[in-house]
Amino acid sequence: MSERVLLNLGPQHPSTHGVLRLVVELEGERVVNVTPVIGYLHRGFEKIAENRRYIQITPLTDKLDYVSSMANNMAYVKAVEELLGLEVPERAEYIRVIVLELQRIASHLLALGSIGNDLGMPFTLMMYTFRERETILDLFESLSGARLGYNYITIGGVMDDLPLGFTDFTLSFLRELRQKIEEYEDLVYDNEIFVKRTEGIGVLSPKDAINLGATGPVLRGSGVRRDIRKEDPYSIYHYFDWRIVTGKRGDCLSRISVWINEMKMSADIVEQAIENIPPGLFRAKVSRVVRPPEGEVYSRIESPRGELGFHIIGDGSTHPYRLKIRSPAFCNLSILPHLAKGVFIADLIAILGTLDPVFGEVDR
Amino acid sequence: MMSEEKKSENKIEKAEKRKEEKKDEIEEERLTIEDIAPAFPLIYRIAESGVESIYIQKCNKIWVEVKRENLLEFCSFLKENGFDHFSCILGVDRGEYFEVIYHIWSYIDRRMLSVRVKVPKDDPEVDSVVSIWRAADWHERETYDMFGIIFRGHPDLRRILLPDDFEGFPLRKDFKLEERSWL
Amino acid sequence: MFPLNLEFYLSLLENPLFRGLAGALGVITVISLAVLILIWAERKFVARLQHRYGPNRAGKYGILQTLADGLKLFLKEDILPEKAEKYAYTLAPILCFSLAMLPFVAVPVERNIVVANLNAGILFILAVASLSIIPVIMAGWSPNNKYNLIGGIRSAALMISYEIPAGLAVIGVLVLSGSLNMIDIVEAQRDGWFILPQFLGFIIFITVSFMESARPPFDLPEAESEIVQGWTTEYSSVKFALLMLGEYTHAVFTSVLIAILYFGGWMGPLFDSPFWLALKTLVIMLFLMWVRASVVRIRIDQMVSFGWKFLIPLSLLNILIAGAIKVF
Repeated sequence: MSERVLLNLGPQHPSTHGVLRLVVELEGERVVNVTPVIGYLHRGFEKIAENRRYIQITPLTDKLDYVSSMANNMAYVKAVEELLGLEVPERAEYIRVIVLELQRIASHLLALGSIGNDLGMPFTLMMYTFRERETILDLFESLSGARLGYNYITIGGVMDDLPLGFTDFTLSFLRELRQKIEEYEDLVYDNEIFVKRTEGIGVLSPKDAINLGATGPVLRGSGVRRDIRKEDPYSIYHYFDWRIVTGKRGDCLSRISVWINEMKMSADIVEQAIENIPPGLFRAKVSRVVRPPEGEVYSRIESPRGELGFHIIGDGSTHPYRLKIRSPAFCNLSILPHLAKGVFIADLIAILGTLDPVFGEVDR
Repeated sequence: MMSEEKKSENKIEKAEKRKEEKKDEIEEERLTIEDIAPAFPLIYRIAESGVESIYIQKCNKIWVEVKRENLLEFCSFLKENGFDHFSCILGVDRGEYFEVIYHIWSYIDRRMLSVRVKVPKDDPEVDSVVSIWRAADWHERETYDMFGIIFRGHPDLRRILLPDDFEGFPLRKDFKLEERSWL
Repeated sequence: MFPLNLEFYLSLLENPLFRGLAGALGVITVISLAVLILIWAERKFVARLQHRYGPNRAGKYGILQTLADGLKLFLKEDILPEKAEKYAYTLAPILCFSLAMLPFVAVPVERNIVVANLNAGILFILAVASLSIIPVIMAGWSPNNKYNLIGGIRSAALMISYEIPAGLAVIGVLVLSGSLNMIDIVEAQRDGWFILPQFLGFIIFITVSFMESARPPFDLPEAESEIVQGWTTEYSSVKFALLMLGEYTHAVFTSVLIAILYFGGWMGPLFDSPFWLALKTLVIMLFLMWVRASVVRIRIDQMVSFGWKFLIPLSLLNILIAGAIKVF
């Protein structure tokens, strides 16, 4: 038997997407075993939340999955609203859907760009995708004044109405985005080495994907047609005409194709939402001190990375008694040891890239 | 002084009244097994399979309480009946006892079943469900990490988010938030 | 004390020792300068391909950026890892740099301008080029770092799969020119560049030179996203600068070699001049940069099987083609 080498990938490594440490057991170039070591970014979010008022937790959620803060805000706010039994004005729901889907596009653009880096095409794909992501960040800046950590979706609605010209600018951006997505498709699908590097690598069968708790693009990449926006509909997603995007083979390339096609689908949803957005209030009347009744609620949304759930236990006071976050990146990352058995070290990086973990959310 | 005390008493009374009113409202709205049975006949079998109590929050959100001893049996029963997506585990410190809650979603029925298990504080042990849903692996480790609840039969029960040499279990309510000495 | 006439100095060049010294000085100066400019050009060119500006602060259009980077590297602390094998660790950058410069002495830039006009010039060049693996393995093994080690082992393993097709591809050129001398090879292209009859050979050779100079998509030994910096991970300061310079010089050298073997070297329209050689080299370098910006890295098993199962049979076929052209 050949000798085995223990290699420490990370926590400081160019392609671990943050502070992940992988203890990799190598046999030559082959990976025998991977043990992810996480927790380097653990901030005790759930403990902090127990000592904060409900309103004060929203800005904290921005820092969970810092590349899709809107989705985190939404997941938390939705849980609190369910606990309160609060009705949200329709305009607010429309604005929420618009920003959530734009956020999904931004997040997938980042994931797509960084997979280029992981596979060894330094910065070409990334600079292209960042060009578009930048526009979305500009849009969000006009909404909330921040480019990262928006704190925009708030209990009862959204913080502020859409600024003047937002819808027109968004529509023209989406038109542009569709053309750019074709460019990315050229760069990904027509690139023979890219396809060779990702096709058939890290195959996750539909059965395993469900059993291992995969959600989001990872699950849909395996061909399982499941999306919480359709299954357990929240907000106003059932108003729009769209379908769930799936991959075929469950390998890295399928997951990448899910990102690309989901971006198109999100663009569709945003266009429909902008077309039909009604006038009205953008925020329901909510008292300054949110004091939900005693009770428990577990509510989930489909964040760009998958199923993002918040379980809140209220004891009738202004602080939550217990707040638990079911983070999609955490669950998707736990699949890595199963996928990375017997692959090459280069494939390990590719698989990690397509699982797309964000460590603010994995470690919480 | 007196008036302030009175005021606070009044406030408490009012708050209690409000609570009671709201409780009544909830009880009025509360769904029963019969309400959802036509769409979800499995509920009868769930009710018969050694469940302590059932609370139907919404038509697709069902909470059940299970005894600690029956957990594994009940979970494999659920798995056989289509509850295939293991969403998450959380631990709760209820003061006198711990509670472990399992959120399980059925992709076929599109319903969420949340299973509660009470765990006494002096013997914090439950059976691991990793053999049923492999997704439970890291969730159980996290619950162990935060509450010190031991999952019997888990293949690799170690701390996951906190360092290995961390003392105490931070999400227990008796955990003191204080400055720790760092290296 | 020093005579002031030029002829005296030119006569000194007849002396092999002086000729060697002057040649070494010339090669190092010219190549280092060229590399400095080419690195800047690459960064600028790739930046434009990637929708960004590239260096634009140091000097006009950032042209002094490479110099500034080099200066920064020279001012940095030179770290010696505690458990490193000291001598191999120190020797590797020196060897890497000098072995990268060495083959240039046999490269003619004009019919009469060459440091050493060797009869078996191409063999010398190929031999020195394969030597350049030694500093890589030294640098991979000596610092006692696993990333370095994997990088070093990778390049040693890959070397076999590209050196053989490289040698075989060159045979096609040799068959057509009928000489091992570099000047004769260029002169044989007076009637037509070898790229036309040897197109297959050219494709093989340019692929192999990607591999040899470890440039993307074959930059496995220093695959940044996998093994951090590969065999240069533990190096810092001057040693890292030397390694970088050596690596880049290698890429420049393969471009020069392609220009000489397949594009007629210094020959061009109207007049013969080293200028044409420089221009051709630049165009080939631009091609290398273009590829770098648009493909992802190939995996090690894919590369080995590509070398053995695809390139070697193809280069054997290429020899047959060259023979057929020569005979008929």
